[in-house]
Amino acid sequence: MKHPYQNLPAKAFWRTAVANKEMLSISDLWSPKIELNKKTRIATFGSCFAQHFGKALRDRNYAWVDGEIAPQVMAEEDRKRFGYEMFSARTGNIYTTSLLKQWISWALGYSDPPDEVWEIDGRFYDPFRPNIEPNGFESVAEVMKSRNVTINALNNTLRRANAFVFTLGLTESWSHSLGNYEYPMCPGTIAGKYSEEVHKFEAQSFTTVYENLRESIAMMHSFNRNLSFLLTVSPVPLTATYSGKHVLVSTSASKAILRAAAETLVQDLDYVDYFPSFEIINSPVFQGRFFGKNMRSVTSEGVSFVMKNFFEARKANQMPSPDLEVGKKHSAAPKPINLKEEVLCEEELLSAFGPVDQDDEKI
Amino acid sequence: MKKFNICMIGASHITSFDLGWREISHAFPQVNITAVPGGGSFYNEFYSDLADKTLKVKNAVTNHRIMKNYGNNGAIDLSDFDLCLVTGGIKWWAGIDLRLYSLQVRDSILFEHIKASLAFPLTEVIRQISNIPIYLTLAPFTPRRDGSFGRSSVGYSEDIYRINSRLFKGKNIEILPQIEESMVKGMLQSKLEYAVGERSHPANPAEGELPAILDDLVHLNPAFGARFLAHILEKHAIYPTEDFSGFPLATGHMSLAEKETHCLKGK
Repeated sequence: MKHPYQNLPAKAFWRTAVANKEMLSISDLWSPKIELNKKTRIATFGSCFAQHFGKALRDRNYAWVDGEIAPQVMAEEDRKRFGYEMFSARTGNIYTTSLLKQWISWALGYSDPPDEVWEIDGRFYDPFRPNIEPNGFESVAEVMKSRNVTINALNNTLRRANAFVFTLGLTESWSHSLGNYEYPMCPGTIAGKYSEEVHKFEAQSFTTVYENLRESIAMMHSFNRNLSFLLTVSPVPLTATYSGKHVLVSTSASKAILRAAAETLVQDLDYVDYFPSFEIINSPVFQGRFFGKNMRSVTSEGVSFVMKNFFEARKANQMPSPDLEVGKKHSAAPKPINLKEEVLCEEELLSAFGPVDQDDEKI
Repeated sequence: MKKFNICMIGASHITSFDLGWREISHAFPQVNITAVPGGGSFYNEFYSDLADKTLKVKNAVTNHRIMKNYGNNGAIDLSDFDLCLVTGGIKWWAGIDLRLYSLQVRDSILFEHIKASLAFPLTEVIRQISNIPIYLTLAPFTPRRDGSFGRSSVGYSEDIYRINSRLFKGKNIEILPQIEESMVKGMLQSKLEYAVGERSHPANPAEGELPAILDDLVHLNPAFGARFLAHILEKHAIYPTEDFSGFPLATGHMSLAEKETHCLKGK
C-alpha cells in the first residue's frame, strides 16, 4: 500500500460518492455501528423530528417501545392530541441535552421533579410538557399524577429498551434560576408567566451540551447495560433565537455544537452511533429541495428520504429479517409521511411572536 | 288538565317501558306516552323534514308503526310532545384506568363513545327541527344468574354527570342513569329480578296478545320500565294519583320461577 487513501471505498471520495451521482441516488450515508433489527426494542425521544423515527419504526413493524400506552379505545387523532405515540413516553419534545438529562435524572431517581405548575383560567399546565394535555389538566394534583405516570413510563421504557434513539434539537434553553431546572419552552409562550428575575436564558456551549449528553447516556447505560444509543441532529432550523444574533447564524452555531457533541460521543463510546439526518436534509448537494417554502419546515419528501436512508443502511448492514423479505405479509411499503399531520412541535409556536410578514408561510 | 305528552323512541329495550307503562298508566291520567318502537339499529332510520319540521323514518315498517301509534301519516310533530325519551340506544362504556389517565383523556374517550352510540345521531336529527327536552336511557346493565358480580360502579355517576354537563351542555339533552333500585349495589349490574319476565318486542302485537318471554338476561322486564317511567315523571313533579304497588314490582326475595309467575300475575 502506497498511502492510506488508495484502497478506500467509493463513498470516501466526493467525486464518486457525490459529484458523479444524481442527488437522490446518493447512498451509503450511514454505516450502522450498533445493531438495530426488528427484534431490537427501540425507544425514541427528542425534538420534533424524532417523532418521524417513532412513526417510521412503527409503520415498518419494528419493536418500537410504547412505554406509555394510550387507552385502547382512544381515537387515533386524540392519541396525537394528547401526546401519545409521539415518543416512547409522554414527555413531549425534549429539545436540549440538558432537558434530556433532567428527565432521565427524574426517571432513574437521581433527582425529584419540582412541584411547579402553571395555571391559566382554572386549568393547570405541566411546565415540563406544557402542550401535552390540550386545555390543561383539571387540577394541580392531576398534573402531578400525570407527570409521575410519565416518569414511571420513562423508567420502564429505559428498562425494556435495547436502543435509545435521540434527536438533538436545540442549544438555547430557559431555566428557573433559583430552582435550577429547565423548561422545554420559555415560560409565557404556551402557558406560565415569564419573569426576568426568575427565568434565565442560556445559549449552551459545546461543553454544556456535551457534558449533559454524556451524563444522560452514562445514567441510562448504568441502569441498562444492554442499551445502545443512536443520536441524530434535527435538520430543522431554529424557529426563533433569543441570543441576539441573526436566527440563521444561531441555527448554524446550534447545529454545529449539537453535531460536534454527538460526534465526540460516537468516537468515545462504542455503544453510541450517529445517524446523519441533519446532513441528508441540509447538505448543499440537495440544493434545499427538502425544505418547504419557508426554508425551515422539512417536506414529506425530505422526511421520507431520511427514513429511506435509515432503513436501507440497516438492511445493507445485516441479513434481512423475515418481515422484510419480498412477498411477506408485513413487507408492504410504509405510507408516505405527511409532516404537517404527523408532527406536533411546540417550538414552532414561537413564530407566532415574531413580526407579521405578508409572505409568511404557515407551518 | 293539560296533558304531559312523551314521545318514547327505542329499539328492543323500549319493551320494558312500553309494557310497564300499560300497567301504571292509570295512575298517571295526565300523562300520555306515544311509543315509537323499532328494531336493532333503527335509530338511524330517522330524518328531519325541515319543510314541515317533522321527524320521519325511511323504513316502511317503522313508518307503519308510527302511523298506528301516533297517526299523521307517520310524520312525528315533536311540538305535540313535552319530552322525547330515547330508550336503550347507548351501551355503557368499558371505562379506563384513572390511575394512568387524565380526566380529559377520559372525557375524550367517553364523549366519542357516546357520539358513536346508536342513539346519538337521532338526537342531532331531532335538534334540526326541535328543542324538545331529550332524555336518553342506557341499555340496561346485564344481570348475572350465577350470583357473581360484574364491574364496580365507581365513577359511573361522575361519568354521567360529565356527559350531561359537558358534552350535552346547553343542548337540553340528558342521559338518565339506570334507576338505582334496579342495580346491584356498587355494581354495574342489574338485579336479577328485573330480568325475569322480560319480553320480546311489542312492536305490533295482536290485540290482547303479549309478546313472548325472552328471559335472555339482556332485556329487563316491565317492572323496570314502570319504575323508570315513574322516576322520570317524578323529575317533572308528576306523581301517581293512586298507589300502584299492586303492580308486580320485583322484590328480590323470590326464586326465578316465583318471579316469573309474579311478573305475569294479573295478565
